[in-house]
Amino acid sequence: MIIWENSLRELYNKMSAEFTWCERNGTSLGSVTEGITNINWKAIDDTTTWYTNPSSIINAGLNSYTKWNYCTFGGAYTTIANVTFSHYAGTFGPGLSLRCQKSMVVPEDKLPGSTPTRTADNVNTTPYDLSIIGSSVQLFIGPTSPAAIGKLLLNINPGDPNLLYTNYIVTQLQTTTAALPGDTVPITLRVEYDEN
Amino acid sequence: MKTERLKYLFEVVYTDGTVYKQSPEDESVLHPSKSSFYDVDVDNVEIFTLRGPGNEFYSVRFPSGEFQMNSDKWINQCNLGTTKKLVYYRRVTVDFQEGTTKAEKKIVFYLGWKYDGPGQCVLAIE
Repeated sequence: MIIWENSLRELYNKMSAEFTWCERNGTSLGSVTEGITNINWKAIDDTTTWYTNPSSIINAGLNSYTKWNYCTFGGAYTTIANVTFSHYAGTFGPGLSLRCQKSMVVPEDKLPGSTPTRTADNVNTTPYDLSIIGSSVQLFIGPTSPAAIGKLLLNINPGDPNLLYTNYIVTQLQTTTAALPGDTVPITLRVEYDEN
Repeated sequence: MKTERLKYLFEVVYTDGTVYKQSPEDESVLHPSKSSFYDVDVDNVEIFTLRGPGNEFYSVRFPSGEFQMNSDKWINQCNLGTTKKLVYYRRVTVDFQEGTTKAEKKIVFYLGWKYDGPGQCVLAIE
């Protein structure tokens, strides 16, 4: 029975590009976590401390650590194109805003990566407000790493390894003293891409 | 994140009458680390069909650009351009919810053509 389940999983994994959501933390983004399924903005820079833990809580008027996420595409595919990251549902309460690095327009717009901080908007000179439902940024894709050069709107499977990376998706939850105590309203974030 | 089983698999009839079918594993014959679409000679396609689990089908025919959907009737959906080239991709949507540990994935299939001008004419099939 176990053999059958394993075989089935392998068969499924070959049937479209394999998408993985990743986060980097720590000094020079040295710590990598692959395969997580959320973003929790916190007062601590990691993926392990749960958001209700006292060390995660952001006091009103302060900001979260910047989150440095990216997506990878593996498995059998020919091209990946038109990757977007958007705010799909849920609205934060008063005194909260979600900032994100700007849309990719040219390959040089990608960020090289730096140690997360709680300083407001230190990751880009023109950050984008992702607080509103429907707001969206364009991502580019390319081989080697999220910080590597060569990222484009459409890219082909580079082969050996079959991995394409988006540029870094850098977000930060910023607060004012108007922020209410307790959990935020949960929001849904969306990644969309074309594959063939 | 675990990938999804593809609801529709494609079949290609070329202008010389030969047929190519996407494998259930979606694996290229020419380059096994790529998908079946890598093998498609897009410049010589006569009919490109997506076939579903209940044998439902959606086809596009070249050079006319007509579409066929579960019937014998070919429909001219868009009257644009002269030179038409196959377009096929799957738009994948992945939703994450803050504070949870689950993500939801949805796939929509797009089939049609782009032409010698801006834009394209495609069917979106869920």
